[in-house]
Parts: sequence; C-alpha cells; structure tokens
Amino acid sequence: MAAASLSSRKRSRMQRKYWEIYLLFLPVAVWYLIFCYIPMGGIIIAFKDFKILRGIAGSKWVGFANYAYLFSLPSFKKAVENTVIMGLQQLIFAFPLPILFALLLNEVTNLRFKKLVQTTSYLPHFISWSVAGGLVYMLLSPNTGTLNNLIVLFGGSPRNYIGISRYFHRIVLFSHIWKHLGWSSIVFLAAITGVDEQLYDAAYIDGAGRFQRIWHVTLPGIRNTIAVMLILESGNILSVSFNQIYILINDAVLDTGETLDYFVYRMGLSSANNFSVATAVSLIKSIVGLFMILGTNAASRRLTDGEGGIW
Amino acid sequence: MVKWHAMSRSERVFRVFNTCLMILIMVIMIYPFWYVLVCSFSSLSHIQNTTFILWPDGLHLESYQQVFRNELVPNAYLNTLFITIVGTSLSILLTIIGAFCLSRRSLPGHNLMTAFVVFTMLFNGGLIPTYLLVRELKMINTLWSVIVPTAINTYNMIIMRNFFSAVPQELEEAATIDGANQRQYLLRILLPLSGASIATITLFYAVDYWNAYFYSLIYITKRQLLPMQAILRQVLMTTEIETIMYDAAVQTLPSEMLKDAMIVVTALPIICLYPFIQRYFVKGVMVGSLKG
Amino acid sequence: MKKLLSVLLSVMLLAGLLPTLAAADDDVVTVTAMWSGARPENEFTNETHEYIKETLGIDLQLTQVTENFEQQLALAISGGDIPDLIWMDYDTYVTYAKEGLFYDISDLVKNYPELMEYVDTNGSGDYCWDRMTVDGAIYGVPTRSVNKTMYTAAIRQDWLDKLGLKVPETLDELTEVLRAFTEDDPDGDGQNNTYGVSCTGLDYSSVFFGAFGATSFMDYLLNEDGTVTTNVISDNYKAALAYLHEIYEKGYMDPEVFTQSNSQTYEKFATGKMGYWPCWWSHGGSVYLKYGFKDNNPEGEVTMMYPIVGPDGASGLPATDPIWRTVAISYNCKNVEKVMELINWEITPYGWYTVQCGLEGDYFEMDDQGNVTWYWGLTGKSRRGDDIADMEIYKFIENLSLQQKLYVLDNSDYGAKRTAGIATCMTAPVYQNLFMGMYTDEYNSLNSELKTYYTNQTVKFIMGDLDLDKDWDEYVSTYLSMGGEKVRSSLLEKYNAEHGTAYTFAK
Repeated sequence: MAAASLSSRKRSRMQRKYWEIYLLFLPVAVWYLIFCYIPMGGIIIAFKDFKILRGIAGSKWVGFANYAYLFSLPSFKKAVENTVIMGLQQLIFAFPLPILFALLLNEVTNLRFKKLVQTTSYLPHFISWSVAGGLVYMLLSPNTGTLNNLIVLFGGSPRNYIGISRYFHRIVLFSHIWKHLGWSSIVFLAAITGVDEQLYDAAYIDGAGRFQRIWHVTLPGIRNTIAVMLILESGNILSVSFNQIYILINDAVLDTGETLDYFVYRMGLSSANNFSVATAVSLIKSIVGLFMILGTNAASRRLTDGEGGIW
Repeated sequence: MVKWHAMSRSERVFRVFNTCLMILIMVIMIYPFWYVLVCSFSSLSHIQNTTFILWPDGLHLESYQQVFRNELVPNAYLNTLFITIVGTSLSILLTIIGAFCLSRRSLPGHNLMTAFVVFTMLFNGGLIPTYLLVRELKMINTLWSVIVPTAINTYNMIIMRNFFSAVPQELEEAATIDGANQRQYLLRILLPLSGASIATITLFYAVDYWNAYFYSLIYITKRQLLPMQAILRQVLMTTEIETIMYDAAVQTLPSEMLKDAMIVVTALPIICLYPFIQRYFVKGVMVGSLKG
Repeated sequence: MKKLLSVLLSVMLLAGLLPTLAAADDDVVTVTAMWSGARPENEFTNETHEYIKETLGIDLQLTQVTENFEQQLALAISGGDIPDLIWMDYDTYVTYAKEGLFYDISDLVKNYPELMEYVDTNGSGDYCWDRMTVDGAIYGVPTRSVNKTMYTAAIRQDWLDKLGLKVPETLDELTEVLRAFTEDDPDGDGQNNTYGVSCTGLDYSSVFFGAFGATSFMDYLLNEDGTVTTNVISDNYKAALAYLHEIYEKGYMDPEVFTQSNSQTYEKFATGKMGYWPCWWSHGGSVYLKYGFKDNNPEGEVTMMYPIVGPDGASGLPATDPIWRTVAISYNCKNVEKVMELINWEITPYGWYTVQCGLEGDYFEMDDQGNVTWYWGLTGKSRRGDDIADMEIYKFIENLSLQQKLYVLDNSDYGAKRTAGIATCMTAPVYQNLFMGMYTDEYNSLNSELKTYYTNQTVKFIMGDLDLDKDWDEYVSTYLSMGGEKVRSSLLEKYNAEHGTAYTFAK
C-alpha cells in the first residue's frame, strides 16, 4: 500500500494508533531494560579474571584467556560434543512427538476420554527430576528393574544399562520425552482449537479421509505455531536439562554423559573464583543459540512465505 | 457422530489403534505419579520388598502427619499461593500487553522490538549482577524477589503473540472502521477471542511460579518466607548433605514416604488447576464467536 | 533487665538500627554466621541460642545454606553482606584468604589455650597452622578430624554365623566370604538374590585397594626409599583393579556399585541384599535407626571390621585430611574477639556438648572431672521426642573423640556400632597423601580433568569395558600426557622446596 494513497485523516489515525501501541509497550520495555539489559553488563566477566571482592568493574581484563583455558581441556570438547548430540536428538526426535500426540489426541471423539488422557499425560511434568530419575533407575535396575525382568523373560541376561556409556544418550532422550510429551503438546492443542471448523466441514464434503483432513486442514492450521515453537526450541540446543543429567550421570558414564552445564558444575566453575569461566561457557551457549534461532527463523520464513518467523 | 458400523474399515482400524495408543500413553504417564502417591501411603517394608508397586499396604498417614507437623509448611503454602496468584496476574498482564504490541506487524520498528525481546532469551548477565540488582531494589528477603525479576517469560510472550497474530486481520480493520482504538480492540475483541491461548499461558505461568525454587533459595534467607518447593527441595537434599557431614543427622533424614508425601502435598493443588483450564480447549470457541 | 534489653534489641534489629547501637553496648553483640546445612531451627535450638546470648553475650544470627554454598557465599560477599563467621571447606578458605576476605588472626590465636590444644590433637598442630597460613598470615581456625580415616566396613555377622564363617581378616578369607554370601543363600529364602559386596562408588571401594597398598583416590604415597608413588597409575592400583574385576565378573559384586546413590546402598544393606558393606565409620550404627534394618532382619547383626590384609601383607585405609573444615572471620567484622571467644568456648568439652546435645541438665550432665552423662538414646529424659534429634546448628567445631564419649554411653546397637566404627577409624593403619592440601596452578587447572578421566577409566576396567592387559599402558600414558605429569611434577617441586627434601617419583 503506497503511503501517498492514504488520506490525511487516515494517516493521522494510523499515527495515533502507533503512539498508543508504543505507549502500551513502554512498561514492558522498562521491565526488559531493568531486569534483562542492566544485568547483562555482567557478561564482560567472561573476559576478566573476576574477583568477588574487587567487583565486576575492578577485576582485571584478561582477553580471551578464559576461552584459551576452556579449549585446552579435553573434557570441555567432549562436553560440547555430548551437548550437541543430546540437543540435536531432542530437536529431531523429542520436538515432533508432542505435535503428533496432539494431532492424535484431537482425533479422539469421546470428550471425557480425551480429557482424561490429556490430564494424565502431563503429570510427569510435576515430578521433579530427582524423583523421576529415581524411577528411571528403578526401571533399569539389573536386579529388580522391569526392563531387565522382561529381558530375562525372553532369555537374555540382565545388564546395568544406566552404567553403560553408549546407552546413556538414549536414556536421556527417552526420559526427556516421557517427562515432556504431554506438557509440550498443550500449546499445539490450544493451536488446534483455533483451526476453523468450517474447513473441516468443507474437507468432509469433498470426501477427504481422516488423514487427508489432518494433513490438509489441521497441520496447515497450526503450521505457524509449529514454526515458532521450533525456532524457540532451536535456541535451546545447548541447554540440556542440568537436573536431569545431574541425577542420571554416574562414574561409569562420565565420558558420554557430561553436558556443558554439568561440566561447569563439576569443575566448580559457578563458585568462588571461577565465575569468569562459567560465564565464558554460558556466552558460548548464547551465541550458538542466537545463530540457531537466526537460522531456523530464516528457514522458516522461506518455507511459510514470511509468516512463520518470529520476526 | 458417525455410528460404528457405518464407518469404513480403515476408519475402524484407526480408532481402535488410536484408543489403544492413548491408553498406553496414559498408563506410562500416570505410573510415576501413582507410584509416588502409593508410596506416600505405604509402610517402609512394603516399598523395600515389592518389586513393582501397584497398591499401598493399607493407609499409613504418618508421613502426612509429619509433613504438617513441620511448622514451616502452613506458611510455605501461603507464600506459594501469594507468589502464584500475584505473580501469575502480573505476568499475564505484562505478557498480554507485550504480545499484543509485538503482534502488530505493520508497526514501524516491529522487528526491532521483537529482537529487543528475543535477545534476552539468549543472553543474560548471570547470577551476580542480577543478585546485586535485586539487592539494590531492596527485594532481598521479600516475596517480590521471586516475582518481579521473572515476571515476563519471553518464551510465553512469543507464543501469545503468535496466537494473537492468528486472529484474522479483517476483525481489526472492521473494529477500526467502527472507531475503536487499539486498547478497545484489545479488550473488546481480541481477548474474548483468545480463550484457549490465555488459558494456556496462564497455566504455564501458574505452574512455573508454583514449581519455582531456584531463586527463592538465592534471594530468601528467612525460612518463614520460603515457598513449598524450596522446603521440598531442602527435604530432598538432606539425604545428600549427610555425606558431607559427620553423619550425625540420623533421625532427621527423610524417609522415602516422607519425601513422597511432600511431593503429593506440593504438586496436587496445582495439578487440580488443569481441569478448570481445560474447558477453554474445547473446539470452536473462537469460530463460534467469529460467526456471532 | 536482661529481658527488657533483649526485647529492645530485637525491636531495634527489626528497625535495622542495630549496627550503630550495638557498638555502644558492650553487653550483647550480633554476630552473623553462614554455613552449609539444612537443620531444623526450633524451640530447642532456640534454647542454645539464648544460652549463647546470655553467657557469651553473642546474638548469633545463622544463615543455613542448603545447596550451592560457595555460590551463596559469593553472592553475599559481592553484595557486601559478608557474614562475620564463615564455616567452609579448606579450598574455599584458601581461595578467599588469598583475596583478603578474612581477618588476620595470627597474633590472636595464641591467646586461646584450648584452641591451640585442640588444633594440636595427635601432634598435628604445626602441620595444621602451617596449612592455615596463607601469604604469611593465619586467617582461620581449622576444625580437626582427630580420627585417622573415615572409612571402614560393616559385615552381616548373622550371615557369617549361619554359614559357619568367621570375620575375614585376609583378602583370601574375604573372597571366600563374598562367594558364600553370593552363592550359599545366606538369607535362607531359597533364592539367589544376594550379593557379596555393594557400596557407593569408587571412594568407598578404597577398602579393597588398601589390601594392595593403594587407595582409590588421586593420592601420592611416599615410599620408604624416598620415592613417591602416583597411586592411580601404580602397579598396586592395577593389581587392585584386577581383583575387583574378578569379583565383579564372578558376580560377587553388585553391578550397581558405580551407579547407585548412598541411600540406595543403605537400603540394600538394610533389606539384606548384600552382606559386606565398605562404608563410613557411622553407617554401621546408623543402619539400626534408618531404613528399617531390624524390621527386615529380626536376627540381623552388624560387625564393624578392621582393614583387610592383602596377599603381600599390605593393609590400610585412605587417610582423612586432618583439617576437616575451616572457620574464619570476615575482615570487616566488628567483634573479632567475641567471635574468637565463641570458637574457643565451642572447643571446650562443656561448650561442645552444649552445642552438640543441648543445655546441661536437660540433655547432658558433666561433673568436675569432665565425665559426661547423656540423656538422648539412653534414658529418654530428653524432652525433644523422636523426630528432633538434631541440635547441632550452632556447632562449628568437630570433635570425634568427644563424640565417642557420648556413644560409649549409649548401649543400644546404634551406640555400640558407632563406638566400634570410631575405634576402627582411630586406630587403623592409613595411607597418607603426601601432597594433601597443596595447590599449584597446574593442580588448580587440571586436577578435575584428571579426576574425571581416572574415575571413568577405573570403573570401565572393573566392569570389563576396558581390558587391564591391553588397555592399561595406554591409560597410564594418556593420564600423564593430559596433565598428570605436569600436575605431579609441580606438586613435587613445591613440596621439595618447602620441606628441603629431594624426593623423586617412583618408576
């Protein structure tokens, strides 16, 4: 729409409308400035030798020394590798499942049953990892665990799966899915309620089967939500739940189990004199997250004709 | 509804498959909570000697009595309630405003505003500067310290914005022609249409506030001000602390059942919130109002 | 008058006016303290609080930190709210002493004879003060481990009796006992559902390593010929791994040893899933009170064991650091002498029993000779009831020998096993880490790295994921090249320089 074609009355109304929105946004912007942007100055300690008594401003600059130290450690590289693997597998496997679950749940016609499934599916979200982890141990226990009981039943021999390095990533993935499937599907269920009922009726009249309706009506209807969720998720690629790793990791799987967050914890970096190095690690996570978000956002915009991005 | 015998074969197969799958998921999802619930009512020897616990061996209420004998618990409940109710209200207010502004795609500077917000999801200054800020604002040892600094969850705001964007453009144009200003459009048209999304985000905030313990352990040192989750966390952690000390804390070590009872007492109220919110997920709310 | 004063004080405290006024008042001063713990504060601990206020004139304001203690301390410091009295581990002490956080008490400590005597327990006074000295000054008081080790083992006496075995003393006897516990159905339920041994990870497995002249830690052991052995890459260590791998393969050892938590191990022992339990001195007694041991095993009986003697006569347990924790005073504390008085008072038996048990008369009695009578666990005179057994929130000083005097008085199973546990760890032969409490730049930057590597590899050797014959040499060379060599050379160099010795590393 060319600006010249607007009447002056309409333009002044537009401007008033903009001012209203800016004014409305002001408290939100102030909150962000105070609680996010002011403390953000603390990031500079990634390039300092931070001493608590001297404070952030008084500590010495050390340039990239903290990064040089990090990259000299073999376990740091291993932690990066493990985190990327776990993050990717969560993005690839754990992200689509709640969508699928929401779609299938939406096809349940008995309303009461649907509500029941929905309510139970999100219960694991309320069990903290320290308890959920205990249940994972219980399930996998070589002595009494259900999994090993089944294996013995079919003639196999029991193994302590939680103590075997090559299974650890899978255990993390499965327990993650179990804990978050129902909860993550809530957004998609809410999005599905927004799909125009008339489209279903039309599709039905056109003779579309169930899968065609899902494919041609429901999925396009929640396409933008999926895109936005994927973009937000991708920014978290290096943030595998610390509490989950903390409870599941053990001496036998230190090589495949250590994530960046656990690395920071194990090295004691988030305490006393090591805040600088911990901040250096988190800055890496932020920058990787930023690139992931920019990348997925661009890709998503291209795929959805500019609608599916977050900007 | 279509009658069973009138369905096509593939339709029947799908229904049977889908129902079975849903039941399976239900069982897998419900077991952990069921386990905790059952253990909280069981005796110690029952838990120790049963491989696969399905039922409690009677109704042992000792753990619950012990939970409520803790003088911090009633206060902690009130603190949690305050944090959840006040926090969620504040958060929803700010989030709706923010999401509404961000959903105006025609607004000059729209992308800049979005970037301004999204950037904070990725970069943060870390614990010390935030602590100093909260301290400077005189919020240490107040319940505000666990509400105000986390009032906006950008993630939720973006989701909300996405829901707002999905509302047809024609509505706004129609409202503008009728002479409604932006605030009127938000209050009279957009909000009534966004039942499901507001319910979702309310749920997210309420559950987050209810479950939060991390900041309360950092900003609050007065025990009377701690929320339930922080108390639960302390109970859970006490077992670990034993290894640091000379193992003198013999009887204060929490038993399994006490832990389980704590979890039930802490989680149950917020779980009960969901069914109330669920009615907003009923299909056709938005469409219906659009037609009307 | 006192009461009025205390009411006044609390009112002023609320108003935040205290700092200015307390300085003018010599009677009661407020001392803030921070330590890591999550113990109940209630009417009983309040009695102790009041007592300290009345007799010592100190209103002790304690902040307990449940988790992330160092982080919370760092935040308090960065915000300028430095606690007057800080209870922390030795590492944290050294870190902050270097930064100048603490008050220099070098000249003060000599004025407190009880304190000097306490630190000198077992003749380690010079050693301890030496280690507390940072950049030429003493900034803190060590709280001492007067016991030589923490580790010991508990064994099911009733199982031994049933199988006609005696308490094992040598490794061969132990192996036979483990076999019998695994295969001969010691619990008599007709099922093959018991393990010989289970424990919580590598630390506790040290009891086995001792029989081979090694420990399971990154220790540096001094030999008689003046050479130093790097424990985790030594032949003795390898021999211990071979033994552990063997009992693991044979099924005598619980496969969950390296994956379970301490409470899981406790529970297994309490429910009769294993018979031999490498543990701390206190666990054998605690199991009588926790996890329903007696309910599950009415016949159950525990014996606390001395270290096992290995094939070459080696025997011992890993030595405990003589410095258990440290207590230091902030550099801007207004009442340094008062705080020193408090520490010194807690060191005296009377003070220690008060902060450990509760007030005299109600919880213990002490006569002029220092003989103590304890009212908890003995006669039930205590008003506290069952669920509150823990009064120690104001106790900053450890003293196992005073603690032992309490357990001797308790003739329940709990007390008896604890007494036996303490007896072991007071007298057992120990392996001393030559470089204990020493730090170099190389150590600070690389040790955690090495620890992760050796732990993970060790567990894999025991569980059979790595082969001792094939992979050992590569393990040793990787360990040394990834920093092991740098760390140990730097430590040795520093040690030799400080002690005027000329030790070298053993081949």
